Amino acid sequence: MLELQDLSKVFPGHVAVQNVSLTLLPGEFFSLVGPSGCGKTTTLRMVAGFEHPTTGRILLNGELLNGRKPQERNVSTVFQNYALFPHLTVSENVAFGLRRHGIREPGPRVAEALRAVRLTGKEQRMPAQLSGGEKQRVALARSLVLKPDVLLLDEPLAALDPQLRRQVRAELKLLQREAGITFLFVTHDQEEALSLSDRIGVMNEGKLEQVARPEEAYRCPASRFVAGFLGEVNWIAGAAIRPESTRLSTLACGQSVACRVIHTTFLGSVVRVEVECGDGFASADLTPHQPEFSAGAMAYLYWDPTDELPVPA
Amino acid sequence: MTVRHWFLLPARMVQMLLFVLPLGIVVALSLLTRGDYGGAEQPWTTEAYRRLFDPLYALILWRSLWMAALATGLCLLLGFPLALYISRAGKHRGLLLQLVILPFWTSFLIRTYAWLFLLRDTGLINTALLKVGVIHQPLPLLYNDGAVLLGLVYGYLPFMVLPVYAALERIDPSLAEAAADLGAKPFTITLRVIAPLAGSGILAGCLLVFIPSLGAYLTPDLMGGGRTVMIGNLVQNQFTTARDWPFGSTVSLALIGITGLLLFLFLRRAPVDAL
Repeated sequence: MLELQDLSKVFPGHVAVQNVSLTLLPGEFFSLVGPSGCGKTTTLRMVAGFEHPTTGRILLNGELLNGRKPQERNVSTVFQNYALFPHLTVSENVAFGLRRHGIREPGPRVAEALRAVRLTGKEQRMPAQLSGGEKQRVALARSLVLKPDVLLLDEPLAALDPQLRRQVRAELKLLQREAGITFLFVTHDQEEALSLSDRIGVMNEGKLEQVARPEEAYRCPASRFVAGFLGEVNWIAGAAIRPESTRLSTLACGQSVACRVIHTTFLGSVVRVEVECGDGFASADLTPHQPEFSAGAMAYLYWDPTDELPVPA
Repeated sequence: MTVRHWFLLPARMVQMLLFVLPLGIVVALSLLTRGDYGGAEQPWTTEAYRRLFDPLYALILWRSLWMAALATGLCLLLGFPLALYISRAGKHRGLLLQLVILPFWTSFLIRTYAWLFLLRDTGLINTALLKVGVIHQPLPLLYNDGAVLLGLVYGYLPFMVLPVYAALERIDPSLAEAAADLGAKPFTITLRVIAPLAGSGILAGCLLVFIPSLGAYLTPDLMGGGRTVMIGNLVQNQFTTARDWPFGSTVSLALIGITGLLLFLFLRRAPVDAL
């Protein structure tokens, strides 16, 4: 169990992390998500031991980690650029940590780790000969082979092609379940965080704004920032509604807001209709078999009040 | 002739006049007979080459190789940690690099003389130690192999530091972090990750120190006390006091040959960008 207690990090002229408190449960997939510069990577680096907290405590299974060197913490990091040793083969990369922990015959455990990430047969390749996805799997194997209490992942999917990213995402989740290791995953991609995590923590300007299950954070955001970061929001008539909960009609009925259609975009599963109402712009995602709205037409926005996000508008 | 050839002409002329021609003269001299008052005369002979295998000269060659290797090793031992320190010195890196280059602002000859003033029997170090009473006889700091080695290491250390620094600078800092993360202690990180990745810079530094050390003449002459300690001094002696130009030329060619061979052996194992 990893606990961050009131953790802060101050760099000269800049507060990177401010009073972050967080408890990760064993075997949990937890994501820290937020825009770049929000302090999520600094938080991760403090857990890894590359940065020292200005104030606050980090505890792993009840033991204080503050002041311990990276070598002395049973956590391991998967770096954004993977940081594979370019002069060592795949299997030597994976064996590196085992050797440092005094294991003279790392062979069987290396083979097992490479099998788990489906890299059997590539043992003798050099990192430069691997694809982006393969490099990422070597980095995972290199860390997981040490059986850390917590695996720290710093934007591990950011360097991959968008297509590959979806596939790797599913593999990552599977691997985490099988290994039963706590994952602390850092990303700026809210979709990635929502789809992968058991819980997410949304960070903004050094502060942890909300910790919740993905559905909960999406449906019941704790702040305007969280609402806006995790998905699009229409701020209409004092309410906050997601585009997929916003309906559009040619008739005014009950509580509805008059608007003018600006633009429609076919997105495959939905048609995105962008409109202008009295106090701003909004968008509605409609299923393709709903009536079509052409640009310039008058329409009425309405929604189910239970779909309103509970944030001050 | 194409335009390309015309533009290459100045370079070709420089190459001919300053490289091929002098080398040709040296080769020709090496195959002649020594003149009584220096110079060389007919008939053609390979006598000088036969003398090269005299155990006396083989010993000098061996000493030179040994001294150059020792100087290279010491430069690496001192230069690598220094380069590593500079590469991690943050905003002071520029200043520290300037300090490494600073000695080049003064002539090598003058800097070598400065060492004489420091090390000789009535020099700064011995005078100070005598005054303090730590010693009662001046220490033999000069005119021995140790002094020559000191001079070589002092003179060529920057040639080790600069390429090693350049190589260290290119290493992704997250690799050292990854190694620490996987449990490697600082010394292991340096040995297993940093040093191998700086390999090309280390190789370049070693060549840049070894080659001039092997042919060094000024340092052994001044700090070794004028005895024929290294191959460079042997060449000089043949052209001056011994008045044997053919043999001097032969030794020069042997030096070029050995250097070329070592360079070839080194570079065959390393990428060309090492230099």
